[in-house]
Amino acid sequence: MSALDRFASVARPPVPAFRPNTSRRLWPQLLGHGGFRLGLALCMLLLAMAILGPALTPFEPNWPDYAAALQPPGASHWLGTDATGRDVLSRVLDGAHRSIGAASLVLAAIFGIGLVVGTLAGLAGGWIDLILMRLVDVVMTLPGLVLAIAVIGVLGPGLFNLLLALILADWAYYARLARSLTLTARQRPDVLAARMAGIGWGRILFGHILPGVALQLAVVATLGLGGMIAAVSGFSFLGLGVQPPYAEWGAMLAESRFYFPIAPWLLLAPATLIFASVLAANLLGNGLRDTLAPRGRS
Amino acid sequence: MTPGLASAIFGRLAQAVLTALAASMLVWALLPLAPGDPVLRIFEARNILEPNDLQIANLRAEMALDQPLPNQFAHWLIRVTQGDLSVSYRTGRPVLSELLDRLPATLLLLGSALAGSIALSLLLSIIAVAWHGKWPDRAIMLYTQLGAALPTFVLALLVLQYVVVGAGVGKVLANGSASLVLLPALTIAVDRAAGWTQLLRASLLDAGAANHAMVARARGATPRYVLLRHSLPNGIVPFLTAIGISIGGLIGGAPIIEEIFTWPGIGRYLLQALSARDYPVIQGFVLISGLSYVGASLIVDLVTMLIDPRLRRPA
Amino acid sequence: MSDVLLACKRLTIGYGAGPTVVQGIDLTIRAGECLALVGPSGSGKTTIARAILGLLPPGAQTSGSLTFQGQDVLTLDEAALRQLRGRAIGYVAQDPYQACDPLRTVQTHVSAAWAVHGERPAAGVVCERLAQAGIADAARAIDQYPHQWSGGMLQRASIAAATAHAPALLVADEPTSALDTDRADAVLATLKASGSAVLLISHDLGLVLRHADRIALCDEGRILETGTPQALSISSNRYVQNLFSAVGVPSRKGREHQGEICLSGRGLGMRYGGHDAISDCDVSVYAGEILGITGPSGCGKSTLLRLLGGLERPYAGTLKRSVALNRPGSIMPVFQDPVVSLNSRWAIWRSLTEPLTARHLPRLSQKQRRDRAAAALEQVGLGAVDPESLPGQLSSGQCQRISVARATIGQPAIILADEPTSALDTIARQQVLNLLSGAALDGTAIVLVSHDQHMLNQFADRVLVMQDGRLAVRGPFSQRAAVARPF
Repeated sequence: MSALDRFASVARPPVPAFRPNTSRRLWPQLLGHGGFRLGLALCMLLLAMAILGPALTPFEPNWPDYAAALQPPGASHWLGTDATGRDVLSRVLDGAHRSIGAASLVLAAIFGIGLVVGTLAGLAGGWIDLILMRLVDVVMTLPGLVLAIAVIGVLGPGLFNLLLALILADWAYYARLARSLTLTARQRPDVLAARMAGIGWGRILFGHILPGVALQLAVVATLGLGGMIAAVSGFSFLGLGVQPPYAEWGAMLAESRFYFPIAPWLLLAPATLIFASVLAANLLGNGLRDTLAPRGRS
Repeated sequence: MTPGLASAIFGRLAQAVLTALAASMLVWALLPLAPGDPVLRIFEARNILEPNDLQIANLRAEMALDQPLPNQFAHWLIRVTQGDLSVSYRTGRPVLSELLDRLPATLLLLGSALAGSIALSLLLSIIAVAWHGKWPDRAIMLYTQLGAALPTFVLALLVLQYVVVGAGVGKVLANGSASLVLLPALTIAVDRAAGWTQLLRASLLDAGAANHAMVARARGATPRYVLLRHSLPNGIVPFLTAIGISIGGLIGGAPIIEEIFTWPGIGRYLLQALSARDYPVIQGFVLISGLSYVGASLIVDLVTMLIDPRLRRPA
Repeated sequence: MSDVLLACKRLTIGYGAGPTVVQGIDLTIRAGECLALVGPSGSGKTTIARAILGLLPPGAQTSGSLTFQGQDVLTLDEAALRQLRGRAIGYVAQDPYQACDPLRTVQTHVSAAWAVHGERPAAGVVCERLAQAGIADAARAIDQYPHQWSGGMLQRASIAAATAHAPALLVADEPTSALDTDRADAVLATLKASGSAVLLISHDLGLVLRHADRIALCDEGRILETGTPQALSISSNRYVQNLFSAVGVPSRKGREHQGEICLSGRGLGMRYGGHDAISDCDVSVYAGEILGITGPSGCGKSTLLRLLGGLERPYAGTLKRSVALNRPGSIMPVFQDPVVSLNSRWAIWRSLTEPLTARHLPRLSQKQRRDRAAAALEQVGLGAVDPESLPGQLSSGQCQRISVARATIGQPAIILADEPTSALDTIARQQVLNLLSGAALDGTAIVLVSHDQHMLNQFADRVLVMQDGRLAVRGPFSQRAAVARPF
């Protein structure tokens, strides 16, 4: 399998090759990484926005106020209003949990499914492995975005269907990754020694194999988070995700796109936030990768 | 051509056929999974609003929908290989001809975007490696970080706002002609090239840090010799693989770009089909995308096989 | 032969604020001699080699002088250095496969020695040079790719390329560590036959003693002592004495084995993907003996070990275990790479006592496990090591001793050791061999796989040689060599 499927996909980043002695003292190293620090700060900010956002909205985000339509940023509407007079700041705050939350939810689900299916296939071997991996092979014949479009086409638009489509599009990649990591871990000297000593498979799985596989898969998921945020907002922009009148950054771009020439704040506010969240996720992912699997420069 | 190479190529071709078959199985499965009765939708499309039972039974038999699923798949596959992708629920016209009408525009857009991003990322990563650690490298790294964080559709909206409307370059409404392809293609290229430049720069640096590059330097080779003779051929293999696979991403991203630039390709047509629940068209789009993806990976694998002798062993 | 070719005077190399890698060394190489630079990994050897070639990484700070044929290499500009490299100073790298561009043929690799200087080798010269380096049939194999060549042959081709312009000095950085002993000796002979002075960098003192004219011992960026092998062997420096006493192998010759057969395999075979990894192997392991298995890489040694250890079922043949081997944990492994042998996330006491937690054994409390670990660490001479440390914080020699302790803690009947010393420096190697020897005295059989035949000849009670997946006896290393096929 190529390590480069991310270019085909919603969010399939390549798996970094970890150096063997990953130590527990990870945080000091991570915090020493400038990009990671910046990403972490941005991420905290955006997470706080996603959690607290709906409670902080100065105006009711979905109520039109035609008298105040298309007002530029000012004292009462800090980020201006849209064509129906809804407060952009309120909508941006209210939409945060849909944009960021949906992407995180999808990746968490994919991570869980991939980890279970992959380690199961890798450890059980035999026909279980054969069946699961043929299924994975079939799902992966289509590029992730195309598969997601197909699933939405069948299920119809909507946030829940979008989540389902994105999970279906990318779970197979993570399952295959987890399986190959498990197979590698099975051959590691510490696992062989435990097997020869008569340690049971359950304890080998939880003591030796799973922690490493889960960590590596989690790094990959973090690297994929940016792509997933872009995908959620992109699909919502096309009207295939979050439905009106609810706010989501991509959907906000779509509903106001014809007013951009006269009201550029309608473009800039959601665009900046999408950019910032993808950037934060990328910085976090790259920081984790650089720390856990630095490139060899002999 | 050595026997090893021939059998490796043959093996890869056989694998591509299998993959295409698996992909078409997945594509076919969309229709039985989709809600609604395809027969009734087809009559609707033909403006027969209340077909009688005989008409329904006849069409059902013609489409093999009265048979068990494996037979349905076989029937569908045979029809597809004959170029019959059923008819659009909306227009009643054959899906294949509807898609083929719009394919040239999409090919033009994606083809020029692909060429542009390959050229751009090659250029930028060679500059970055040649000035590794100096300001051109840092500037390019900054570009790749920002580019990777800006989704293509957001960049496209910004381009439309500030280049087309603001600066008056290009047109808001495109008609799919070659004279107007530059701006949308460049937008895709600038965005795609960010990720590719990161990748190619890293693999060029890896290849330059490899022992064989050090040996060449120790024999008196210039840095340029090492970069062009050793790093580039070795570093380009993962780059090519990425390109092959990203054909899938390009096609998957086509609808949103075509929608923003009002580009009359199959992506925009797909969006109309999506909102009308026009399943045969959706299926046709997915099939064409899947097959292009399989084909692109095949071509890339064959090229890398020619570059790297170690890949010529039969799988 | 006394004219000085290369002279370092108080050469110091460091990186920015980081540690000084090379600390004021003095070194001379005379024309035509073979000077060996010996030290453990991380002692600054490779940095010295790169400094001589003028290929220090960007950001390196140097002081002192490094004079080659009257010019100070440290102050030369890049163009002048390029004229030195390849023409006056040849370079042979460690791993021949990594030294060759995998995308190009061996022919291209060798003729690049001319091409990088903008020249073309005369027709037939490449073949001629390869033949001189001891490659038979060069004309046929030359259009093949590096991965199709054997390591020994490819290293000779690299030497032929490095000596293309008859350089006055050859810098060889661990040129034989990827090869087994026989080939290593042959490759070093080829190196010396080139007529150039040789700077041989190695961590293997035993090998160097057989080939070098003079030896410079270095550690932590300093040269401890320089001299002929004879002069060094009577040195008064404690470290040097330790090093030299560790070159030998704890000899066990003449020790009668009293054990009975505890594990025997007959007609063992294993297939991977339709290809026989090993076939028709008969092995018996006697209690308390040290059985050596040697052979070129890829011959099936490790596969045989996996079958003996019960990690895989043999494809053909039968494996008979004595009653003592019926409990789990009665066969324990020691692996080549010490650092990954231990779980990198666990404190070493956990890894060390893991065999005691197997299902069939009585449950131990954490306190008991820590105590057992401390006792075991004491036994392998690591009493000073904190049981809470992680493997990444220890040296590879320490990790390997902990691996041996893990293997012995459950009192196994057999220890299967796969190249346990090949990643270690001379002193650590000696310590591990001593531990294994001690375990054998306690009645544990040791099956020791190694490519180092010199070591096995002295250390093992009998040695089996493996070739292309089959076992053959080669000896007589001891009286019992003839017992290799007891059935």
